[in-house]
Amino acid sequence: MSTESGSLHTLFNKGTLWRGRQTEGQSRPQCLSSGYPQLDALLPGQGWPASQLVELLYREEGSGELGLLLPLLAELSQQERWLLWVDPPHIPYAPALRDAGVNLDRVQVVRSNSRRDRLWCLEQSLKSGCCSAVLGWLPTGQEKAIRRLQVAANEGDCRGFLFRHSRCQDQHSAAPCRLLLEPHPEGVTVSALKRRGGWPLPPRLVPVQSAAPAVVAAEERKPKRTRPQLRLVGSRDEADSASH
Amino acid sequence: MKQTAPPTERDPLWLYLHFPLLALEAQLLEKGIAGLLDERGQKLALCSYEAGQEGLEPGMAIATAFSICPEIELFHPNPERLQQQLESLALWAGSYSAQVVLCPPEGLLLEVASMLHYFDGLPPLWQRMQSSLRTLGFHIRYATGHTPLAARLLARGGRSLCIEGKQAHLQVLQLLPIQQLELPAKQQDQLRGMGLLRLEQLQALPREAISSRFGTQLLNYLDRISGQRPDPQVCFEPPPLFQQFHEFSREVENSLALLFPLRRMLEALAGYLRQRDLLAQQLELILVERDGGHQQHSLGHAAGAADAEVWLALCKLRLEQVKLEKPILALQLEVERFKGQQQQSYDLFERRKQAEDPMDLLSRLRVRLGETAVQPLALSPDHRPELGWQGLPGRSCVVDKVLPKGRPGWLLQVPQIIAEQQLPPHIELLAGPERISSGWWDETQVRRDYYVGRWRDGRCGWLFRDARGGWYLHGWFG
Repeated sequence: MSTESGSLHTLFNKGTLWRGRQTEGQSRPQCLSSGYPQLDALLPGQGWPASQLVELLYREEGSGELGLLLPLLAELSQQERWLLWVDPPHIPYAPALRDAGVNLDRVQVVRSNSRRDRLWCLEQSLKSGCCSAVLGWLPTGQEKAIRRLQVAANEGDCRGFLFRHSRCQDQHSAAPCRLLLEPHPEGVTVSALKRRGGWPLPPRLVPVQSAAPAVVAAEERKPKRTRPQLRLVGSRDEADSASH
Repeated sequence: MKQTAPPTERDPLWLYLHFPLLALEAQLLEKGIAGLLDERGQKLALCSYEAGQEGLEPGMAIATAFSICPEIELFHPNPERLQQQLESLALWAGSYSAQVVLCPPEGLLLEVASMLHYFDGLPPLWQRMQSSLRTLGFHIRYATGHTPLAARLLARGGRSLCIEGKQAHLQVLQLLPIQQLELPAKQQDQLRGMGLLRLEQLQALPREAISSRFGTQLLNYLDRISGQRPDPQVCFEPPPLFQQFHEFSREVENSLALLFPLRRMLEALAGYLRQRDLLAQQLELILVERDGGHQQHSLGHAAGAADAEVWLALCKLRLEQVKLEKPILALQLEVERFKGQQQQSYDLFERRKQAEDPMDLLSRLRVRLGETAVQPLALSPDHRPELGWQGLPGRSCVVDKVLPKGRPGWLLQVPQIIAEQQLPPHIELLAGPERISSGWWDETQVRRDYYVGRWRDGRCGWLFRDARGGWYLHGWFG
């Protein structure tokens, strides 16, 4: 019996065997809630992990990749440290970020010239310790580079988010957490392809409504313009009811 | 050394640095087997440490030296370069002492008593100086002294002394041989003829006897050594402009080989800045090419830095990208912009692990990727979406009131055209229109109706119809 538990311990120590619920308790203080209970349930430690890479895979921009992150970015931007965006595919639109509560003074956008520079820049900023989160867009492949970035993130106590095309989902990656995003009319379906201390989970709907504020705002704008008409209709109704 | 009675703060203390190989080391571009020729160019006057390991020694004929070690690199004496290097070292010493005295051709004298409190004692101060000199590649002999002359004589005598206190120094001085007193040869012979071998024997003679036999000059000299007579020194004044120039003794073809001489320059810069309580914000690095042309590189640090390591890292980043088409003959370093030192306060309780200064990171990114590569995000008070996101420097975030609601997270660099037949089946319009009409005062007038549309795959986009009725995609709700 004792030898069995001994060999069990060696397996634990090697990291080939882990306890299902162990990570939750341990890493909770470092994890920050994503702002979506449905997403927190998917993430190990009930929130975005600290000092680690998270890979977000999607087909095209607009799949909820920003919406998932914005609550976290808003919270991190209250710290002194920077939020660094390295080579985003489009312009991160400042009014939208501000609307979500992100302190724009902390946001820096880097434009690199080549893939090599981009990786260099990601690594430097991850390990510098003066960024609270680094967001990077990487092409397929890059297995070795991702391993380096993971080490750098650990070193600099920085959250790294890598945005990649969903065709990378079958490739090996050193990122401890990998999420696949798919747009859905009511939000985003997120499947955890890989997570530390847990098995992959099937898709789950997270109600990220990044376009909802726009729709609401448009609705708000409309009545203003039609208010005089409404009043007219109302007065006619009153007149009608009075006549009845 | 254990201190029996702690010396008072005002006890004078001097440190003399003697650079025995400076004439050679000033010309070297890297550590290696090298030698300096004598005036006539026939024999070795100095050998580098590595050459000494190979069995070479000063006084050897060139032919012998080459037969022992064919790869030896030989240099002719260059007094001008020697003086330059000594002055550059004096600047470097500014990091450690406010009073530095040049003792040409190859010595520096530093007043250290007033610095001991700042550096937490003599041993820590000396350790820092020593490790810095080692990375710069200089060999030294050193000694402390309670008077400038005592320090000089002990250092040149090879004592390697690092102690405090007048009595301690006087004890060591007693044993100094007469021939190390740097007296004229005639006087030395006279003293030896009298059977005097050490300083203590000379000091034991009656003062009248010394002055009558050798004149008052020797007596004054002895008093300056022991400290009975003041010995005022003229301190080195750093030049008003910082400029360092190093002409190499051979051509340099690899840009990274410039780092070694550059490090010496940057250490001098650090000392210069330290002494003047300044930071450097922009450096100009000029590489002089063989045909007289030159390459100029500007390096900036966002917040200003004095530290040689910080600047060296920036220079390295830049030099890694530089391709030398022609060999480089000389290197020049200038400071383009200075900045006053600002004391930063740090959080005593902050326990983040060795976080770097964000300005260091910013500077490194800018040096490697270009000056405009890193941009902050800001709001700007313009209704046109393409102009509403990037503030001008110094005019950020003034638009709290007019912040538009419901904007997409991604804005396309250029609006993308959508074929009209795509619209009804593929894109479902959720909200709109929102009329944005602005910019009539400049070239880029817009009049657009913006809509929120849902694509068939569930993604939402921000699209508009312009005045001519064309449909464009302008953003994604990411």
